[in-house]
Amino acid sequence: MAAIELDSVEKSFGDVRALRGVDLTVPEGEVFGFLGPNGAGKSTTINILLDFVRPDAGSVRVLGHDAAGDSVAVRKRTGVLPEGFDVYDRLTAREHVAFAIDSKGTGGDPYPVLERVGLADDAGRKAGGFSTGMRQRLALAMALVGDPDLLVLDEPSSGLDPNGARELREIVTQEAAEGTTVFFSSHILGQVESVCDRVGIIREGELVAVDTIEGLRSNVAGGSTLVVEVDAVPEGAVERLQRLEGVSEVATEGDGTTLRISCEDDVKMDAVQELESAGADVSDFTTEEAPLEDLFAAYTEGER
Amino acid sequence: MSWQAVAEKDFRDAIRSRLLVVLTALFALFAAGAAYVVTEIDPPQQAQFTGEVTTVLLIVGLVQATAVFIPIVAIAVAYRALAGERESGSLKLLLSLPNSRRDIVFGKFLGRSGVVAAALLVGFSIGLVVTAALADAFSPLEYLTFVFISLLFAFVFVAITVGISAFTASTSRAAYAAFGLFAVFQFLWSLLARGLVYVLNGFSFEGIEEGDVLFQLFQFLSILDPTSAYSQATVWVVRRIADSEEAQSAADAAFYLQDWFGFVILAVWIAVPLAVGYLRFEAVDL
Repeated sequence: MAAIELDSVEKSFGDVRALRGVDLTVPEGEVFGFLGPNGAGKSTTINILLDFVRPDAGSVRVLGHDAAGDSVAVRKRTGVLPEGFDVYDRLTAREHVAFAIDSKGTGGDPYPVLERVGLADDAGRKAGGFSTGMRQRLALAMALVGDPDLLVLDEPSSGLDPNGARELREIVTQEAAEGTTVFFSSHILGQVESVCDRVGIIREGELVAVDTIEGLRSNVAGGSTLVVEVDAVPEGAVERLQRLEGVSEVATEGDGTTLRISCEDDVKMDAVQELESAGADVSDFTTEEAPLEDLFAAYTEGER
Repeated sequence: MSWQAVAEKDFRDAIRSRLLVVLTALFALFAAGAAYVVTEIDPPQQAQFTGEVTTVLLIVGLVQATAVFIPIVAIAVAYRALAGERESGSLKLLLSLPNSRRDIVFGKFLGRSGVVAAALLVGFSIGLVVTAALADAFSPLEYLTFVFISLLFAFVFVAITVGISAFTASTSRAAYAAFGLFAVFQFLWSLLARGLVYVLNGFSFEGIEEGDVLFQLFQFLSILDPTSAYSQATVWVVRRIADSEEAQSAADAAFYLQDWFGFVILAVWIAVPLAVGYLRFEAVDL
């Protein structure tokens, strides 16, 4: 059974079409990164999963339940770290977690889960005095109550310092190791790269790619760059390279002895051979992977 | 069913509000002060006549003032109930947990009602001491009945305010709407009822006599005002306890003029605003 199933989901707010037919399936046990620039439809999608917002069309199933009709059943087995939330200023950290325990009806002691997110020493403090990062940890503690089958984390690293972000990744990894499905949204690809099995990229309300990070790289032209050192670039070599199938861009760099060739992975050796047959003496070549930001930009910017 | 969890959380949260401490202190001062004014400074005419300030007379005098003060306390405690959580974003935390929207509306009503009840009970306890000391013939039963009906009246305004709070993500709008409605009940209701009868009678009051359909409509509309219903229910019960004859005397009037009908009105004013607020809250994108 899939943990999350979206089928042709559409949602408009007034004139703004926030989601334009989103299809997405996240199998159980997967760590899924949900990426897109701000305003692309990430939060709307998550809000629909949790029944904060109702879709105009399409079907949404979470953990086998209808997301709108059976939302309480969904949320019983789901831990959520919402985006743009606030805590109850006058309640202590312990009272927050106790409320989560009462709402989920799981029983038990708030302390262990507070310890897990690093708030054990602040359990008796009122949350009104907490920093953004501590509020984030508190909400994560509430999400972890009752050992959920699905964790939904909406922009979880936004308020965290690097240390907090690392601890969050550790918790995500631990949960995933126990079989929890994790649905993780971010507008920064680098944050999800190390923890996610697959990522989906949403842009202007449409899912433009769903793949592993490696898969995304190989799909994007110029996903990697071949850097070749030669003694000198022979006449006509650049033109010959550009005529090769799978080569998208050739640039000469520095003093004219370095060539940067953007191409698909399986034509790299052809490109080097082509250079040599043009008369160049290749002294060294390396492959550079495109920075993740470029990869992300390739999907989310420019003409489509 | 997680409404208990919501109610408990909400009670803990709202009871720590500083505004509540201020309101409780004000109400305590008010309850004691009003008891003093009614007994010592400006006793009801009947007391001047008989020379004795009974608990009944004291309560009849107090009801006019509590009818204004209690709604203000209730609105101040409840207007942020849902709108405040939507405005700040804590509603996302509340809704991320397995709380249905019905549990949230109902739990909020219970939690805030508990807070208002706590504030009023503190105030009334102090009023009780003053009343017991000042009234010539103090009846604890009559006073407790008065307290009970006053709490019911407070819950009406909590229900109305929670219902209004479900309609908006702006606490200031919720406050304006709740106090606006209170002002309508307090000052405009009878004028509006008169106006309606005037219009229905072809823009005049001519020819309307006691016992007419329009006259009955006017009486019925007047009693629908929760503030009137509160006064009516209080006076009925307290009189009945003190002196069964007087209560009997009105027994042949229409059902809605019976004093007990005030309780029905109060119950309706709790149920309907909550139901309307819930339906709205259930349907909206949050």
